Amino acid sequence: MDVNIIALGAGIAIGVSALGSAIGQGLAASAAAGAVAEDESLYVKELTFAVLPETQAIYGFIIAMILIAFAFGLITL
Amino acid sequence: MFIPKQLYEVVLIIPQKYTDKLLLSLGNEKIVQFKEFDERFHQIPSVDFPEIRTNEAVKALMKLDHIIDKLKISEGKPAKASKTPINEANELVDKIEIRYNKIEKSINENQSVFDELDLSVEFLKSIKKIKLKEENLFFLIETEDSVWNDLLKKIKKDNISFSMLKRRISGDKVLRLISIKQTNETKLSKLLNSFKIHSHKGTIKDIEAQIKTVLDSIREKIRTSKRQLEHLPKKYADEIYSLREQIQLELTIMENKRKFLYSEFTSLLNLWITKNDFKKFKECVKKVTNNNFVIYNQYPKIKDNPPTKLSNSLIFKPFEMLLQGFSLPGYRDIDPTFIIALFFPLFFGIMLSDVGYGLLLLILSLFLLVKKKSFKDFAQMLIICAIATIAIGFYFGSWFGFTFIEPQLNPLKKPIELIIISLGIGVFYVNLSLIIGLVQSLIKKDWNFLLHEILIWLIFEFGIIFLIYPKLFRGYTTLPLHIIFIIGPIIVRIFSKGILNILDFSKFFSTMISFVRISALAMSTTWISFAINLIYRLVKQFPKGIYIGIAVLIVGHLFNFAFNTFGSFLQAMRLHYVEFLGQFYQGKGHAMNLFSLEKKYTL
Repeated sequence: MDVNIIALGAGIAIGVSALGSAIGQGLAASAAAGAVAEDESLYVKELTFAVLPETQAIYGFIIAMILIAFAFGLITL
Repeated sequence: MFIPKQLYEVVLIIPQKYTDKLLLSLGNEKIVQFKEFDERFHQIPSVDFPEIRTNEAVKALMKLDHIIDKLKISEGKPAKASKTPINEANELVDKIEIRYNKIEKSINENQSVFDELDLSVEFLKSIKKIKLKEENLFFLIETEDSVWNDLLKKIKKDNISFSMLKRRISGDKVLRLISIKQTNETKLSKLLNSFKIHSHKGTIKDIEAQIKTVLDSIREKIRTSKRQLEHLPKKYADEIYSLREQIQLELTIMENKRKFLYSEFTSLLNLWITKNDFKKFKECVKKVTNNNFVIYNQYPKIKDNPPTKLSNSLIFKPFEMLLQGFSLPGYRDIDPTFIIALFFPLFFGIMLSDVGYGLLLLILSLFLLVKKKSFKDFAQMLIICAIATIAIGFYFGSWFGFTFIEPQLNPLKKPIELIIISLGIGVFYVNLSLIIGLVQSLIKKDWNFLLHEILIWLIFEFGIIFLIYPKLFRGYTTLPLHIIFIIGPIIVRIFSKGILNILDFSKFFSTMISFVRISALAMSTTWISFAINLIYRLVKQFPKGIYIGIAVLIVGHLFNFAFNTFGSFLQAMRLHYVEFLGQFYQGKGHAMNLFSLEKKYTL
């Protein structure tokens, strides 16, 4: 398979997932900041909530890595 | 280590006269939590505790807090204890308020005079361009319009010829520079005195000099007052913080005394104490009451909702703060601190995975441990994480992204192996959490939780394993076990939680897959380090590029270290809170609030 296409796929995987993750994280973090302003004891819990949407970016990164590994022959079908 | 400390519920009867002495003694020991009497004790006839001065203490405390806030008083050194802290606090606050207001009033008054004179100087400067008869005499006055009108009538009556320049400064206040012949000086001076109007007279230069001298003196007065104001918080800090602490302790004693029952001569106390401290407690009571006491102790009952006091060895203790940040385990729950203490550094270490970054973190956490006593637990936790990072960094062969020794596992060359290892950790860790949940449910005999939150996942997992490896049970049974094991839990879930909760089965696998973040973070640390080192190699080829290259190395690696340390910590924390504790942890505990009369600001 064309390496260029695979590289493009890897880029889209990480790019789109990071975009979605960033939007989600922005929403969660702003809500968390509001909650922490009300009650400081919620800091640790809210911090965890704020990083929850990062998962999608991580999955995107892993898919990109698998695609790159595939392109360079580190794994085969 | 695996469960919170065992507690006793204690009922103690002592002669009332020893109550205060016992409270002081227990307050220093910090071993008990007093509890309210429940319905079992309601039939005991009791009298009210006579001396309750809570309102006065709270008012005094509020006054102290107000003055601390107003003067921004920072913590002082320990001061001598007072016999009547509430009265002394009230007197001291009043004294400080009077002193403060006096200085503030003096500053405001001087400042307003200063501002007005400053305007006069400005006025004089602005008229410098106008040609004035230098042989004339000038009077600078500040009057209101109504006063000026009366004065003008008198001036006209006395036939004093004059010319005048004026500027309105505020409302009806006007600055006037009156120019007259030298011969009229006495007449005008008399008139101004009769109207009690203060004036500066002479040539323009004289007036300017006079005002500047006054301005300097006022400026000095303001400075002195401000110095006095700055000195005020330092002067009273020790006394204020000591009185505040004494009142707080008095309130703590009062609040706890309210929890006791009293007869005419005895006090009845109900409290929680750890089994380990019980002997010490008994000795303390014996000593205070001269062996005049009746004591009864028993293990807590489920309905009593006993508090939780975690019990972990020194190495695991720092990780209690991670659990406390989430929520405490119930009294009868398993305390997972020891597991978190084992796996949190492991996850963190794999995610940061660099000997250099590990060493940096070790230095920073040692510095934190020595310099900030309040961060002791956090620093100790970071030290353990730093050691794990160094060890795993050796395995990955990464020293600030450079490779000096052939690595056992290079994330750049073998990313897929790393992803598989992370997934393996995920499968193991989620199953470990289910096993802990299983043991906990069996201990607590919580059959509902056991079936709906633990067993269905374990059975479902078996179903999946049988589906993938049907040879495992071939020859033992002809039943389609893989179908039963998969369909069974789904049916149970639908009937117990509703049709929408069928989605939980995909969530169960995503929980395991979520652990691939360990490999993602490890790769991102390594890749960024690699990129920084690549830029360095490119830049150093240019003339004098070595200097820019070194700057790139320092800034780049510091950024990567800070960014990925924070990221690794958060992700390791998330894996524990969401993926691990989320499987079994109920966290309905409440902390044991030990009765303490510890003094920090009082000798």
